[in-house]
Amino acid sequence: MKVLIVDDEPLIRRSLERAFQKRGHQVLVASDAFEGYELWSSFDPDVCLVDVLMPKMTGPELIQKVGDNTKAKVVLMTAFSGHNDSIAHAQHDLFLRKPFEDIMGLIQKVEELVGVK
Amino acid sequence: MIIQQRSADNWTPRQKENFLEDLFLATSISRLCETIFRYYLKKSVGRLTFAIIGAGGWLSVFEDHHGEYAPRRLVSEIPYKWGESAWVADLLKRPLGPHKVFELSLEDGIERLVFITEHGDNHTLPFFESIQELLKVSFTSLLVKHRMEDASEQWAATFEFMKDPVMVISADRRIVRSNSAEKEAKHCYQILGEERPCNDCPLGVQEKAEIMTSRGRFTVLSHRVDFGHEAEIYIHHYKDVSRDRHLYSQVVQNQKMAAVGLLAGNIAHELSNPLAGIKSLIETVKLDVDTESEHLKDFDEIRDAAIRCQKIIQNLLTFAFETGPQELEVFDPVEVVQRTIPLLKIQLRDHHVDVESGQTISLVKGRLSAFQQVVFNLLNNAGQAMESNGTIRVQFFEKLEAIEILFTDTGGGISESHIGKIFDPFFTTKKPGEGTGLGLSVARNLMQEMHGDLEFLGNDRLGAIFKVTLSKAYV
Repeated sequence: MKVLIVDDEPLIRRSLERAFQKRGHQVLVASDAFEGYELWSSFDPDVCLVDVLMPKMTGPELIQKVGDNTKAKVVLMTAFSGHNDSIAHAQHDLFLRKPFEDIMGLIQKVEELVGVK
Repeated sequence: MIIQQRSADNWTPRQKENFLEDLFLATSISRLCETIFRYYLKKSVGRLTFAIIGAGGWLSVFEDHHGEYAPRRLVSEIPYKWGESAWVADLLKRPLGPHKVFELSLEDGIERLVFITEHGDNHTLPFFESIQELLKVSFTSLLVKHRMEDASEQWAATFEFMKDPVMVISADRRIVRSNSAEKEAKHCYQILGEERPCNDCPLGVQEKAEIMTSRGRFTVLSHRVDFGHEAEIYIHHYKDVSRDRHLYSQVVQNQKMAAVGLLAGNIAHELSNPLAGIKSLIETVKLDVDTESEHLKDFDEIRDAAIRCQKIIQNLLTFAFETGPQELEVFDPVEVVQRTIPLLKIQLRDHHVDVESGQTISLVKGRLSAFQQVVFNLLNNAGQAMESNGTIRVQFFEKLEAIEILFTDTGGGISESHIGKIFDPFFTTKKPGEGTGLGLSVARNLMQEMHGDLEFLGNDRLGAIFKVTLSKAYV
């Protein structure tokens, strides 16, 4: 499956990229939401993992900008522990809290979401 | 007695002089009345009553009791009219015998003097007419003297009643007068608990200054006054501003704490992202490493360090923000104590902390972040009280409806003279800048707000023992 990862934290991008690649998936990464928006259009991913708090444009703003013009499932990720209205209102299929306890288990969850075994 | 002389006009110069001298020697109106009475009896017979009627309707009556006069103050709601002797009789509560009324306005025109002579003969009126100018002067001067004495007493009472210290002092700081209870003090600075003139004393330099003394911080107003003699005399008014300063410091401190909390929260959030990344990446990299590789253990060390950092940050976030609900929460007190210790790693680096929970301790009901703040304060205070290699023992005890936690240190205990003050706001034994004196007072308030308590149990052989009580969540 085609995976797009949008996160401003390089270590998160790198770990997710390697984990998905290890499972044989095609991965592209973006370090901010603007880059993520460009890749979303051109790459046409099956699933997009988006960080909530990013500078310039937040994850929920990116999701709203993409709107219905995508087939991709949306996974929101955050390290923020409190309540956040923007998360509650953003359209998403799965929500993940960082740090990830079990990264390979996470990959499996995403695969199930997209329907890839 | 039958008088020989009809009026004072016929007195010899010597007689007049004596009378005048006696009048002016009278130190009170009573004595004045007695003097007049004595001279009157030399010339007439009968009883002599004096009344001084004031502008406010008051009436001082001086009635003859065998030649002695004692004042009685009587008040009438009905104004006195010129010549109304019945009005006086009514106030005296006795009928007047055959009498004559003699009146004169005193010099300031406010008070009037009324003489009533009972059984007076034909010589009475000429006698009083002849001495009326003398009487006017004598009574007026005595009334003025009385008024000044009254005013002086009122000012003295006001001066003594003032809460702030007020002192009249000489240029060498000797006390001329003060409203302090410490009457034996010779110099102004002694009343403020100092042995030498206070630093920044404004005397002779400026009109206002702020001074720090062992009795507190004062604003001093210094005014030179002219009492008509050459000595330099100053009035110093001291206003205790210690509490104002403390409140101001408290506001500043609160603002600083809020700013630090916000900053800590932001830093914690910024750090948690890369730490999450480290942990995730290590997990991923480990998948590529041979299970026999010696690097696996290194990766685990890195991952564990990242996890520890995350926990510290999480604790810091909990401590910095009271984001939790204000209503009581259920939590494990042992866990909170254990989570707080790492936050004081620097402060407690030379000491040892023993947490003795023994059996399983019940969950409690309270405000988690507030309780953590109390634990933080107690551990921090204990750490500061101890020399190196100290030990703090934290013991948990199950009671019927509560959990009691004892904090015992080896810091030598709290001195007898401080025991009664340790929960007072702003009381501190730390050096300036090292403590606000609010830690224990805030901690006790926080505990009581969550229906718990914080008490000082006393000193044991090595140090102080504090007891924290929390209500059990489920009884």
